[in-house]
Amino acid sequence: MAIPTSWQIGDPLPSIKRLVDQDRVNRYARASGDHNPIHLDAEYAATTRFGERVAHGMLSLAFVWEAIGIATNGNYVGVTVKVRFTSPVVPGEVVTCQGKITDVSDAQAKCEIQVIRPNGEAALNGSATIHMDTMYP
Amino acid sequence: MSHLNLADLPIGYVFGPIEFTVSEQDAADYITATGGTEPSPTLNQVVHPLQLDAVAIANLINALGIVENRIETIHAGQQMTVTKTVAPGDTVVCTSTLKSNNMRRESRWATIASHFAAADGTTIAETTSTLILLPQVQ
Repeated sequence: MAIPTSWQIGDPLPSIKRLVDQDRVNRYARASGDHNPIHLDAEYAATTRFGERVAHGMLSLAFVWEAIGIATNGNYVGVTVKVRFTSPVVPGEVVTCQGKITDVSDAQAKCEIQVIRPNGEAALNGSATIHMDTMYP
Repeated sequence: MSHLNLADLPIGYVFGPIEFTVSEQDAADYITATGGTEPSPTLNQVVHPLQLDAVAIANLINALGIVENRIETIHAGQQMTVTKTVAPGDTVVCTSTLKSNNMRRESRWATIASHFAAADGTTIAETTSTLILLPQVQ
């Protein structure tokens, strides 16, 4: 397989930019079944520690999986993603999913991944491990 | 509908199993909600892996009454390993297990592991979710 053998430490993952507006958040709530009012109800959200509606963390995480899917030509088998949600995305923000390869061997590739908000804060950060022996037996 | 109180649940408590399928429409809606303006080149006839995890989390949210009881919750972390892809219409069986459950600085921290299997028992994915239930403001 060309992709794994060509990967080198420091190579970037495909970068993805997404507008996370309230319409997207609403559609994500319907698609995921997560109707927590912190994401949907402005009046309720104003009473919380966030003071306003925030997007689902899992929505930002979906961008990470999409980037990995592009890097692996859609092969998700053998992929592990582990993240911490560190800052909420506020509807209206354009976020950027980015990452780079930090280690490559015959058995696996490791990447660091982030979703960055417009103010430079990471909405999430973590790592992905792509197990080559599972993906390309 | 009665809900479970997380504070009452012992380590090892099992949520489910729940059996579900993701329809073609649901899969397309999820990809549209998370994707860009162009169709995804990598998710043709495949359910977005994270959509399965979303179903499990929605099930937990419902079981714990987080929406109905307006429990302010922070999703602190998430891990997922995929071992098999799923096509729309495939049966998925999800079993979630409470792995940790304790109080820290007046908030309840819980770690829940979920196992996703196909109808024949083959593992599809393993996930771990870390949730923080904040103290309710009166």
